[in-house]
Amino acid sequence: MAGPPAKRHNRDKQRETVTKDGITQMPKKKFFRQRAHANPFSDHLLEYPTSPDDMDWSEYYPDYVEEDSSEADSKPRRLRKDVEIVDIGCGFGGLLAALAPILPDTLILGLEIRTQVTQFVQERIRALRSQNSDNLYQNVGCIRANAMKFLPNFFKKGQLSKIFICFPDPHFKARKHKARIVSTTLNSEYAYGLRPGGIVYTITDVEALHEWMVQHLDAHQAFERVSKEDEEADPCVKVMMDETEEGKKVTRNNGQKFVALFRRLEDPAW
Amino acid sequence: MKIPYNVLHVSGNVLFAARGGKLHSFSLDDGTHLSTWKHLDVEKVEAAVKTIADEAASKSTVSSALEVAEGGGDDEPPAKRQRMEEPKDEVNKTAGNEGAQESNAAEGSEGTKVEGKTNQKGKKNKNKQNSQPRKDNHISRVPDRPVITHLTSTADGAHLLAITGHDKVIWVFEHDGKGQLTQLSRRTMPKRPSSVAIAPDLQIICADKFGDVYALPLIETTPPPSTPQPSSPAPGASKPVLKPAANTTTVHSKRNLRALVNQQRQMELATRSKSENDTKTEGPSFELTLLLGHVSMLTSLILGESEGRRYILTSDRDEHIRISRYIPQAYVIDGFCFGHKEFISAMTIPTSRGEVLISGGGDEELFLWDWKAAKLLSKTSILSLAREIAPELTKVAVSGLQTFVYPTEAGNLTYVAAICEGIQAIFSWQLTEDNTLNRPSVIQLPGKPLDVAFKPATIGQPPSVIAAVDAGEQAQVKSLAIYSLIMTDEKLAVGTTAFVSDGELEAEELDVDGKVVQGLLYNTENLRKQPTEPGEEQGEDQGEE
Ligand SMILES: C[S@@+](CC[C@H](N)C(=O)[O-])C[C@H]1O[C@@H](n2cnc3c(N)ncnc32)[C@H](O)[C@@H]1O
Repeated sequence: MAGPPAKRHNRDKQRETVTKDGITQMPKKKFFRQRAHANPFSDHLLEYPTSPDDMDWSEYYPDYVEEDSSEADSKPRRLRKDVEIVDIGCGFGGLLAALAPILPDTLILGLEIRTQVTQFVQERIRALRSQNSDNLYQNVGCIRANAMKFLPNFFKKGQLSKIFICFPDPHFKARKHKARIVSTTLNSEYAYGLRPGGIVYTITDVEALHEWMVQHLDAHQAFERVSKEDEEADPCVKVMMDETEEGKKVTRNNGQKFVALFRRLEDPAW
Repeated sequence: MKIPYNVLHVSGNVLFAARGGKLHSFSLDDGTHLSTWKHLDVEKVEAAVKTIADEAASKSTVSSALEVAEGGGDDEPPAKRQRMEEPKDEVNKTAGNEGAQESNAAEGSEGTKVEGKTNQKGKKNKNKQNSQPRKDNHISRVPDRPVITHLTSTADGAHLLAITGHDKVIWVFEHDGKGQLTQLSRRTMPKRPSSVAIAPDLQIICADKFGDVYALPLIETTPPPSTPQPSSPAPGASKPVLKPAANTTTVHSKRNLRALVNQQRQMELATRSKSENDTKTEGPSFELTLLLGHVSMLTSLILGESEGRRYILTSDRDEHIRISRYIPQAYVIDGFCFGHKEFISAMTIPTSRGEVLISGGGDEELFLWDWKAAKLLSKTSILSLAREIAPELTKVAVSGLQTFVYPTEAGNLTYVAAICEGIQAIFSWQLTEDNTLNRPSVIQLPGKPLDVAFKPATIGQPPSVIAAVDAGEQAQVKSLAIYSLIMTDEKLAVGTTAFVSDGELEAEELDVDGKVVQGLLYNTENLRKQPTEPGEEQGEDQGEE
């Protein structure tokens, strides 16, 4: 429930981004708490574009809006480039914040189903942009979306070069396996969004879930496992290990992390 | 009232017409009754209804006892009531989901469900069960009514396929071409089927309410002792894993091994996470291959063909139309036809115009697509046409879409026909060469249409449309009628009306409450998304600002 009005008001106040000397301050996580799980099957109150062409990215990547794309025509304003990297279930945005300066010319997007968490990340990005002058962090955004249902509404076939799936919810119950973010049937949607040569990055601290993801991606004909050497040579792997909030938690608890990368293959002739 | 005819299928000169759990066949030449197949549960329901009536006769009034027994006795609206009676993998608005997270595949829906079993569906129902008024503790419950939800046949007419929704069964019959059926197989699917097609290579391609699409051979091969878990292997499966030397047998056993390892792991996990103990991983006892899936309820599945290649087209409650390749590349998604803003419930591809797809659902328009290119060609308002006979309408739910050919001197004309839930008409248009729907016409019906089928034109005879309608309490209105179609200015109209000879069949039918019919046969509008109930979303988001 919404809680007593006074309390709610307070929280809103606390959440208001603090501006000090014209610089947006980092949001505080404790004001953005919410339940740990959201049901990926429910209708929610999600907003999603009817198709990728209907998606208005301009508010997420204002620096990348095409100069001559006027608001006059009915289609949303176009960007100079397309989103290429997606972090599915980005949580509080650690990976996004770490990747943005490393891949400064690539548009990166976090997808998160929980409203409050999404808002936190959006504040965080606003603060990062404000604190860093030289156009840093303009290439990163976060939207609330159910990635299991609506990925194709946001991205055209082959638009993506990397998909990150970091420390997904394990959904232990057998009858909830379809709720897992990696499944035989859902992998076809990842393959659809990824261009040939694109990579799915997975990391988890739950060994059985790791094996599940490996098994299901391995068995999918559109993917092949990336070799250990290539994996080690990929700078994104270290970021995913060390910069995600969950990754940090696992490190603090001296837990193990299981990594697996999969490469999108060309579709066979048909 | 009597339960109306609800699903129709024409195969050659034979009309198959399902009415609840019964499947009748009639000659399209003269309307004679040819045969009847009955689901076993038909008699169970009838027996239960009789018992209750007898039990009650001595005590209170029959009708109130029946109402209680069949769930009409409490003040739940019938549609809602019905939803609660259905397995959890049905639309469940109250929970605002497709129910995809709650499976109860293991709960055999076969056989008689008596009081107690019917309601073991979860917390929500428990209260209802307790609060349900019961005059007599000994009153038994009427078992789930069998309903045939789908009928289709092979192109040569030699096989007929039926689906019964209440028990998730796919039935395959041999058809002698003259209306006589021989039952060949009975296969219980993991989830309730929502759409089905038979491919030219004699594979049944079946979509379910859980969002998955399976392939199973029309004619069962000798059942393998243990088939792979549908949830484990990849869609389209058997990619020779790692070692190229693997042959079918090794892949097969490897898969099983994997499934086993997986199962063990599951059990470990279950114990680790203590509270969880549902490791029911029994697979089906017949060959079943998972081809693809949406994370949404599938509402329609059709097959398409383009340049000699086949495709599977699937639509869901979340406005998606997905184009996947056919077996063995069903894991490849070629595209999506985007544009619908409400659920999609019906799709059709005219045989005469294989490149065009027509789709409809909760939107006020029908959409025409070049499905191979995933390109929208045109839209046509069906709501405005429906308003010609029912001006008060603000929305429609398309419950049936079909196409047929009308031969004329100028050549074959293609027509599209649509029915909408609860609207007493058949809407039709001509599909023009420039991919629009033109020459709209409205054929008014004496009741609410549940299904339509077409009898092709023959020499000297125009095509006919066969309509199954729910006439409600109008006892004089026949549920099944055959209308010959005439054209004026290329718009369709009804010529002559004919009926099948089902007087005796009709007399045998027991009376059934209108609410029960409503619950059983009206579920298209239910697909529309409701604004999430307040409180629900907030539990998760602590109050939306
Ligand atoms: C355990 S957290 C991991 C967060 C982050 N990736 C990290 O490593 O720190 C999993 C996140 O996935 C989100 N999530 C779960 N299902 C989702 C879905 N279908 N679409 C988008 N996000 C989802 C959850 O809300 C949660 O924030």
